[in-house]
Amino acid sequence: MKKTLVIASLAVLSTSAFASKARMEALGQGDGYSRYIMDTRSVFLNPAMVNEQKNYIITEWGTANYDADTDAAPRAEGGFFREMGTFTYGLYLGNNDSRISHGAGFLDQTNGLDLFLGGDMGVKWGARVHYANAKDETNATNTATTKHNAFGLGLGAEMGDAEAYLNVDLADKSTGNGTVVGQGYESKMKPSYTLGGSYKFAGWSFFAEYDMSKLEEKTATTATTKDKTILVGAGRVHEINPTARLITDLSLKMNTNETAAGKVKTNSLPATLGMEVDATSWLVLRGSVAQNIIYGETKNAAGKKQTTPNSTTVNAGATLNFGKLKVDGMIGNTGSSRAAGTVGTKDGALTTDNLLTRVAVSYWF
Amino acid sequence: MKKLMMIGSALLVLSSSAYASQARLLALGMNETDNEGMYHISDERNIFLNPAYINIYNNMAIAEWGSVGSYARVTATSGLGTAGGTSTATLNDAASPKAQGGVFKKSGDFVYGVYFGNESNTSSLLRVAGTSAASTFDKFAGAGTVQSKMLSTADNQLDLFFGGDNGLKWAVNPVLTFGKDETRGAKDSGYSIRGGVIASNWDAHLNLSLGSKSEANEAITIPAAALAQQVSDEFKGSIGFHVGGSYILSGKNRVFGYVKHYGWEQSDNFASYATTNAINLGGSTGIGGQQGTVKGDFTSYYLGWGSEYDVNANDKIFYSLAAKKTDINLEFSNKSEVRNLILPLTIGYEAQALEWLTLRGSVVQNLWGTRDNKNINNYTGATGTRLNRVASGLITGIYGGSGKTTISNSTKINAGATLKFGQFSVDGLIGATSGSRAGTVGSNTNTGALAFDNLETAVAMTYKF
Repeated sequence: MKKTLVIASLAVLSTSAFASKARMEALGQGDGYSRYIMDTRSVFLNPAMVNEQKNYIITEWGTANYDADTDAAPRAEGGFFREMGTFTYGLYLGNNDSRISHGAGFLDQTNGLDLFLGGDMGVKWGARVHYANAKDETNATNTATTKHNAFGLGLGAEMGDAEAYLNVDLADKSTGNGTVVGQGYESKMKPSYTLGGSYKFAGWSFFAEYDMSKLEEKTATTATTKDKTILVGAGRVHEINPTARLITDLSLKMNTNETAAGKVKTNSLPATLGMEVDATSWLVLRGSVAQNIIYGETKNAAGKKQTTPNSTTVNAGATLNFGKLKVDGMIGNTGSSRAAGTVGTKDGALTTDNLLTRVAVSYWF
Repeated sequence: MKKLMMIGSALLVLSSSAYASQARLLALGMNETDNEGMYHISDERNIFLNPAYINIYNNMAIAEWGSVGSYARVTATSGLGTAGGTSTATLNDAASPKAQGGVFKKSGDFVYGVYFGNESNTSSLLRVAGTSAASTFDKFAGAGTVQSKMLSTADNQLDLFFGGDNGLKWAVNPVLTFGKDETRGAKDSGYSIRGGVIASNWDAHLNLSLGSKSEANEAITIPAAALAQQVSDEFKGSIGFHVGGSYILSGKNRVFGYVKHYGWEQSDNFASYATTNAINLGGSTGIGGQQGTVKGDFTSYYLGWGSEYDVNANDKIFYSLAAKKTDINLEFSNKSEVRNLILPLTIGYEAQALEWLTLRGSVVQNLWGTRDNKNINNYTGATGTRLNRVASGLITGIYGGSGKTTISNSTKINAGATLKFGQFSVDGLIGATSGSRAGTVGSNTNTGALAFDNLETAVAMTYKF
């Protein structure tokens, strides 16, 4: 009953400020960022977006979980962004994403700290510094001390209809292996970067991005993993009316992953159709359907090609607006069975016990 | 209940004219293998029966919640190797819906649309039936592999729509699906085109399957028989059609009918059925199948009458009586046959219970129902040359097992609800969650419970813009 009263007493406020991984996933933006939909998540792609999304605190619910972050077990993280004159600054905790995860026994990225600074001087600009550092001398199975440190830099600019960004991981290094005895073991990310940009034209955002990562891992042997992705596409947020938006995008994604086993190439042409509607003054509903159009295949190290199976996905989410406080989450993401492991399972059920999953709460001031 | 009412009291009140989902029609008694729609109940889902419906249902986006697309290949052999060795395949149904959805937009006198993920259950059924019975060993303990050896079913399907209204509503709907997996020598493709018209008192459609092919060539090892063979199998469909329509006799009384027919040829070079049919598979022997080429055909005839009664501006009662005959033939040496005849009477209701809530339901029962199937699930101890064991599980689930009998327990109750948030609707089934909470809560288990934790199942959300 109390819960009912809380829902019934929600205030009516603007829903223009959206912010969460849950929103991005519900709208079919699979990797947590969108190249054309404005969201607070955009600052991790283009730090200049701090000029657009500011004066809020966000908390993404989850557990402390190194660099792992899934629907079933989301990672705890959050931060705040504030305007100060013509500048905006921000602090974000727990963004522990590694471009390529370190191997077993190596210390993963933890306690990540991101600092943001941006300004508007005709050209909107922004910068992000990422830092993480950890050490473990208590390992019981191996006397080696394990250490990890990461340092990254992001730069971005927005001018009129154009924007550009560069995110560089200058270091992401893990030394000492907690499970294998050996000297000189290390897992080291070579300087890796994401370079991209977009241009708005005739209601569409045309975007392109190049992402390159390289991880060198020394144990008894040395293994190198290289990953490259080229992304080009176009997306559109079509405002049907002030309370409803249709989302459309089509992109070509070409990924090459190279390990000692050989090169694996994955190319796809995914399309996304989404909708986001202010259903009531206190409720925003959103959802999307996405699928590879005609083209989507993986060529394995032996040169054999396989069509990417089962590429049709439907995601859904909601935002509960409590005035300046907003609760985002995914819906339809709990299996109709409550057996273990059904969170993160999509089998068409609208559940009320797990009202929202992958929840994020933001407060806008 | 109070919680539900309080939440609902805040919802906006808007039109309920745009109904659109599999869940709605399932709640009203739809019983079609591909959930393609109903002649006498208007719904967006009918676009897969007659694409001219896009002229009625447009300027809308729909997303049907569910898991990823192609099920049959992935889970077709799950359960083998366990006690009983039951082989099953999962299709798109209320208990395990496939994710799918699309957008339809009107532009002047024309309407266009795109829809993702509406793979055909019938197509999957036939390809599973066409798979080499050697695939039955796929997950059998000791077979040494966990990868399915089934022929690939349709996946990543793309439906495009284009139509117009020149007094006569018309539309065409080309359908495309294909895939390949060179690691297992597998390729599949499917092409079809649907076309339809809707006039003031009649409608008609012709859905043509122009091609359907699935083939694989891969190693299958069977340690229990010391066999390791390269097995090549293929399903090749010939032209298939689904032609039908309806005619309004008077008022809202409508007669309708269709004929569906698909023919195909399946080939299998597995040369050791004599040996493998003696292997005990989790408690029973026999896997069916036959080396060489076998022809098959599927034919379904449907004829019925349906009507609706408007209780008031918002509430309706639907009723229909139909006759449906389904014949499936697979020309093995021991011919596998399905002969299924049903006369279902369906009574449904749909009521706007509250401004934000529409409730609906139906009761269905066969006034007459018989089957006379041969060599469908009698592979145990048999010497093969009949329907393969995996397809047997699938067909038995839909058309029953071997033997001549009245179809028992045909009475079914379905129910559903639409939650309306202005132009945004959330449809789903209700009453499809087991009342037991012992261990798991299964969906599509009708035990008479109105569960609040699974508020709706087989959910679809629709936005009309």
